[in-house]
Amino acid sequence: MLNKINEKVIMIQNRLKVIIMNKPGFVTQTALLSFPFGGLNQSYIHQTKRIPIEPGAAHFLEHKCFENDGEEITEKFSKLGASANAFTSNTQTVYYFKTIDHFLDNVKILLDLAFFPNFTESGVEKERGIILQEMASSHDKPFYKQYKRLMEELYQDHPFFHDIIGDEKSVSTISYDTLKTIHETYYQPEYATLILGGSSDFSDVITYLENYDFKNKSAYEKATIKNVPLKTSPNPLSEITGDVHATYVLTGYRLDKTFKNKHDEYAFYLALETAFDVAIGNTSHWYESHLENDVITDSFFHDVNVDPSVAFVMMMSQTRNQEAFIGAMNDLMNCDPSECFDSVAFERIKKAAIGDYILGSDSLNHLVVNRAYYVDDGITREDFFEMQKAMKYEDIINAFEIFQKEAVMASVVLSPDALE
Amino acid sequence: MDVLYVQATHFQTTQINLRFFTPLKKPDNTTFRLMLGMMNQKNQIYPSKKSWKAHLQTLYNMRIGASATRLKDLHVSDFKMTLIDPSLVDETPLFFFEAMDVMLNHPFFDEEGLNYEKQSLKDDFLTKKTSKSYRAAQHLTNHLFKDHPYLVRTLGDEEAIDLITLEMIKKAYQSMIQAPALLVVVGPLDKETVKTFIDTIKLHPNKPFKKPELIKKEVPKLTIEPVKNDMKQLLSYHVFETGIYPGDDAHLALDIFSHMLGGDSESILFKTIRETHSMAYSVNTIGLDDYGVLLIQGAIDPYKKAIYHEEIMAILKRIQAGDFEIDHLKLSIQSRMEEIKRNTDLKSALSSRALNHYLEGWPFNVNDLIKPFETVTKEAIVEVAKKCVFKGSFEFGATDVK
Repeated sequence: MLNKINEKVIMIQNRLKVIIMNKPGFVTQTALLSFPFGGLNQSYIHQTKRIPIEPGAAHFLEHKCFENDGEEITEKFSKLGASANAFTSNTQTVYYFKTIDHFLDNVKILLDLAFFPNFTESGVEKERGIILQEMASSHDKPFYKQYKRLMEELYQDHPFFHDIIGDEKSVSTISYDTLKTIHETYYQPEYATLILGGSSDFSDVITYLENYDFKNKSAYEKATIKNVPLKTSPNPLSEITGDVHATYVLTGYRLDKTFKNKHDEYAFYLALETAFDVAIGNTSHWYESHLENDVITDSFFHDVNVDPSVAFVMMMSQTRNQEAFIGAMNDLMNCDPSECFDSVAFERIKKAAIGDYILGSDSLNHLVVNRAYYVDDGITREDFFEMQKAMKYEDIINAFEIFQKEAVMASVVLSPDALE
Repeated sequence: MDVLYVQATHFQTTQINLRFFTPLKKPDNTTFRLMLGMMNQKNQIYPSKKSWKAHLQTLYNMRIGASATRLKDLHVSDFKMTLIDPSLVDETPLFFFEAMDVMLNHPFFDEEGLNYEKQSLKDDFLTKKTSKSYRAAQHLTNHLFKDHPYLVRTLGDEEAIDLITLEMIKKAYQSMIQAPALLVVVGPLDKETVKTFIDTIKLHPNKPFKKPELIKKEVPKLTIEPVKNDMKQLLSYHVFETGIYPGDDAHLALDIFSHMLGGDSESILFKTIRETHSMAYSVNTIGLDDYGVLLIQGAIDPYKKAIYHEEIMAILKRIQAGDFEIDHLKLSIQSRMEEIKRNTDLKSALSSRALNHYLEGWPFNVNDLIKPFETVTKEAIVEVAKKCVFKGSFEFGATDVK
């Protein structure tokens, strides 16, 4: 029998949603506080007006919440035996810690750093330099240039074009006041979710939260993420050079499709992901023949971004035959789905998904982060598992046919710089 | 074969590592890398990558694979499988165990497979070279440890790939399968089931395992030119010879010293280089313990390289003079101990702990393992710092910025 995670959802003061994930046997306990404010959130609402925010602001704010009047807050966690960190995704900013002891005291620090940060103007200036160094680290990677070019083609004015970290101009512009305003807007308990994971019942934390003095409601409101359609057709093939030693092709597909509800949306993308696993995964005829013919190498991977807000499919490989790789991508867009798929492989991949689900259950960190990721869409890991179980062969053919009709494709070839 | 078994029933999957120990030498490192790669791709029962991977999907996407690591002057061929608890899917353990028998005892070595693996390894090297830090680290270690017996890379050597023949692969397989072996099992499987696993894989009678001795060699003065690359940052490496090796009395103090200096966001380097001076996003220490070396690596703003170097040397001097707060040391000790305690929730950490218990005699029980950290004193840290001899630095990237 598969063990489901024992979960309880509690509303605190009618403002903050708390999810308790019980995981017996583990010594570590973890708390994660998530806000629906990520790289794609590039505006907020004030008196019905949409006010733009510079790209990278969510990530910048994540850094600054760890400052308490010039001091680093992570030290407070460490003194209580915890390890704390944070990350910003396209749609979220997440703060978390893991610890064995002093759980409640660490929760107090977590709540205060997020709801009542105490950063300074000089701290903001100092952080700018650190973030610019973080940016330089990723810009020094040759594949960054290729990815960025693909984004230029497929996402143009869409917020997804911008890196979560922002760009040099935006990071240089983000001010102390901007950070204060967006904090007031997005870091409201009504928008946040606190997830508590481990073997405890966390009753002491719940009691503490019932009496926690959350801040007053904000005059600002969060804004929906804008879906900006393509203005001009992307260049189907771009060629760039870089500090690489072989040729790499990156192909991306943008899909702007609307759904009745979130469940239908995720079920669709899960079916699409399974369709790709069947059609071009490493057990497919497509994969085997293209590997034999040097069109792809062992480095080939495909990824269906089953994320909130953006649907993006990406494939990449080192290749010795870039024309054939592009040809293979075009063929995929035009193939007859009844010929690319087989039902035996489909059933096998469904079985593999059960194994993946069980494997994921052994990591408390995975369970908690995954739960937070889809929390604003009301989808759980168990929901994904049920969707996978309910999926029919026709669903993957249907998803793939829609993809073929509606997806916009672009490829970027990255070749070695010419020798001097 | 010795068996280390850690039953942990709160996990739903079991990690099994079967390791074979052979001498570490050239060109065997490349031969073994190719051989293990071939064993990952196919076997006599499933004679293509497609059929083997499809079979693993029917085993609920069971993870099984071979990789190579190093243990002192031994080459380690590590066959790792992670299988789900069979009772969760109404299967028998044998249903999963046979995959290890298939992979281990029914290899399919042919010219076609070897050529494929050679090309794959060449492609892999090309991709690795896109990473600047990989290139920088290779360049540095090739100079620093060029005559050291440990510098035989288990990833193989690019220039040796074409010299490896099918006969060498088959010979390597025979030597591996008869070599001393060690099995480590962590997960919910009971002892009887582990015995069934051992019966299933039908291991050859192996030679007894002899623990390798540590080879100590003096680290030469580092004299290499910076490598210019079109980058925004400068990858900077400061090399210190500590002369302290695993098993030495001072090794525990070295561990804490390294952590206090550059182990986490409370470390002196992080606070000074990153938080105070905004010179870098990442800066940390790396202990190359087998070599008696401590590295400080930073991806830094090239315009600040002179002050970065001065700052690192000043920090070391301050520690050597005992000019650091005892509270900082206490926090570092506590942070290291908590890290080890939290790792109890990871199968991989439990597996490593069992291995270290067997190889080095370190306690397996977590409380016994962390207790000695409490004995590390300020004086011991000062002593370790004084032993750190600066051997030079190496820069890769935006080296021409003044």
